[in-house]
Amino acid sequence: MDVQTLHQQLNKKLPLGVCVLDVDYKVLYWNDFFADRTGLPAEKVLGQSLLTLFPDEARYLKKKIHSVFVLNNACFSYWEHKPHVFQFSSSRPITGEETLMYQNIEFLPLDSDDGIVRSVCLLVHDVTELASYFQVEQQLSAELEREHQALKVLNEKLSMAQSQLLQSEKMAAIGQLAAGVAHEINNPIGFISSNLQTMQDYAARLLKLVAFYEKVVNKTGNETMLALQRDMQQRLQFDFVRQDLTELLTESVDGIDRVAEIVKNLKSFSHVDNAQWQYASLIDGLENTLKIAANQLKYKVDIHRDYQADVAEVYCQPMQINQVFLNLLVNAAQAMAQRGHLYLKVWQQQQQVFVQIKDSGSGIAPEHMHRLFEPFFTTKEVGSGTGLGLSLSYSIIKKHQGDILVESTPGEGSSFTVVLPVHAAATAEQSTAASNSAA
Amino acid sequence: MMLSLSEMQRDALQELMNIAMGQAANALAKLIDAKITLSIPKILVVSTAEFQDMLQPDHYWFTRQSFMGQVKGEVLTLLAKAGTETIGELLDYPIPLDNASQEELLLELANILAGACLNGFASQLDLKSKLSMPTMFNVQLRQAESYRWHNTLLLEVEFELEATPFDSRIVICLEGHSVATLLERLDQLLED
Amino acid sequence: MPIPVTIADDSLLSRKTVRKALPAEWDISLTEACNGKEALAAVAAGKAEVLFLDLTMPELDGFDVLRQLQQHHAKSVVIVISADIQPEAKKLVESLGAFRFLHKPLQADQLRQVLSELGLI
Repeated sequence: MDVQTLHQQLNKKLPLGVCVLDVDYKVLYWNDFFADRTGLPAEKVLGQSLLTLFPDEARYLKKKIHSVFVLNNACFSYWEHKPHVFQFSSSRPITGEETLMYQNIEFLPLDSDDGIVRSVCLLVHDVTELASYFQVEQQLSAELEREHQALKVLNEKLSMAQSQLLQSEKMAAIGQLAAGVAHEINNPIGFISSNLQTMQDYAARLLKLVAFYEKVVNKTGNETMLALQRDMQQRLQFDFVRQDLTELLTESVDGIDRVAEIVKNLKSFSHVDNAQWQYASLIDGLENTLKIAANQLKYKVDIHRDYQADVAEVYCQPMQINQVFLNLLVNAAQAMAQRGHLYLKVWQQQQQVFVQIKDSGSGIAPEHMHRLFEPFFTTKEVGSGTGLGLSLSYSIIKKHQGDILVESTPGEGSSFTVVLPVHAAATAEQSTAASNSAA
Repeated sequence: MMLSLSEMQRDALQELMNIAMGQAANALAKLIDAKITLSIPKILVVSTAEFQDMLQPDHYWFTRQSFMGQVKGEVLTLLAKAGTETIGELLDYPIPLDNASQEELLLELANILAGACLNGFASQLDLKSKLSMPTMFNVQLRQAESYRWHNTLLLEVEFELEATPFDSRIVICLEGHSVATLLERLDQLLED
Repeated sequence: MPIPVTIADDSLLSRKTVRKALPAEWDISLTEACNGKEALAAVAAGKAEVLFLDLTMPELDGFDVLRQLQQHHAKSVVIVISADIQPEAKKLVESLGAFRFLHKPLQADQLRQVLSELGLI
């Protein structure tokens, strides 16, 4: 093949657009790639300005071509920034779908060995295939990312649910343990109490008898008898014993009564029946829980109650609500380093009941406020407290279709208000929960 | 194989870079209506680890272009993030710059500066070399081991655009063999 | 009579380049200076009827050399050859009395043309 024929073949077959311009942007040459796609054979366009042939892209083309003339340096156009400089069509790989051609273009200085550029050559590469694959890959990546995110969210939810379940189970286990212990202790407490009372009676009788004997001995006036009596009484420290005996027995009876009371509270706090959904008095629940929390509060806190009369019973799971109260009361106690005040307020507004637990403790820093109900968030030292309390309380209240409102002033105190609807609607969750706790 | 340059060779390279720089600045000035100042070019022989240290993505964008021919290597262009919009305006880009336009601008700038520098340099040494198209270069993705060359001759030039915080650096990295070719040419020029 | 010519540039390569670009038939006695001070010394010693001058040199740069030459009404013809090709440099140099400003890299035929204009070849 001679060079001429070779050139003709190249011109026809080259899968590359070649177009040569002079300094006035006039077309000196363009190959079949261009001719086929514009419908304008080379002869028709020779001598015409590229800018008038492609008026929509003129500005962009002029800028690029101009810089080549000025700088004697090749410049480039990238499909990522300007995908379709020339509005030519091409087809996508695989589907064969018709689409606008994606182009990479090289603008080369020609005929510039002495440093002055006399013509510029445009090389247009059809990169539609490349672009298509790239775009598909981008889409896949984006989808992958989305799925990844969704999975992350799901993971977090699962993690939360798991912790809550664990906590709930712990509480349930503790509840059962408490109930078991209470049950066991009840018996011995019962007979200790009853025995003590009997002993009080016997003691009283014994003392009465001794008093009677004393009188009789005193009446004889017998010096020897009297002396013997005095002596024996002294040796046995009888005066002291007589007084102390009664006191001891009274104290013991008190003590055992208190133990019985504690056991009763524990039983009612952890009563298995309380796991069921039912109408219950929040005030009773609060008071019950208060007794359990009593030893955390007793020595340092003055309790102020303000309960509205005739507050309706609320449809709820009492055990869970009590758990929430316990959490809030213990938090309040821990917030008050020395002495403090605890304000308990219960009121009803239309179909909602409000239970407010307010303390005069150290308060919550503003920057922590929005993280309070976050699982594992805690301001306590490592090892003391799991940081799960409030997040669980929050989720329990949410399950009851209620809310927990927080207000706090650092240095003055915090108030947590539990809001519950009187008639919470029954949901599938609740029936599952109910059947779970009954199991 | 640690490279070392003789005093004469260093001096000669310096002069070549001076001239190439002048041409690059002139090139840019033809397109932009602003004064460009140039620093004294630095000539360094660095290992790839030292090179990696020089790349600080906080203040600069990076582009890379390879070149091939009688000498082979890469040209890295560092473009200051500050002042990108100013220069964009001077180059007639729509402001504010969106991501695509910004990339386009950076690649164009890199092409102009690198092209002028490399061409000036190569032509003085009568070495033919063609630059490929520039691409953005993500510094974090490259590890020192992945660089092809173990030692590189770095020719660093700094450009500043008057009254803007924009500055730019061109780093021409030559592959081992190409350094030998270069030095040969230099020696030829230095001969009488 | 050979014409005394001095090439002043701090770069060895550059001095060589200029030297190689000088027309072979030009009859000269050549001196090389590597900074402004040496350049002025060469002028004072009558060794620089024609002075090829770089602008960026240590000790005394090209601009200062030009100023000094202007002040002392020196008779040397100065042709500046520099890498700094921005227009202000050219203007300044010409206002300071240089005959011509040539860009680096130096083109032998440009140099030839200037010398021919000066009637030196």
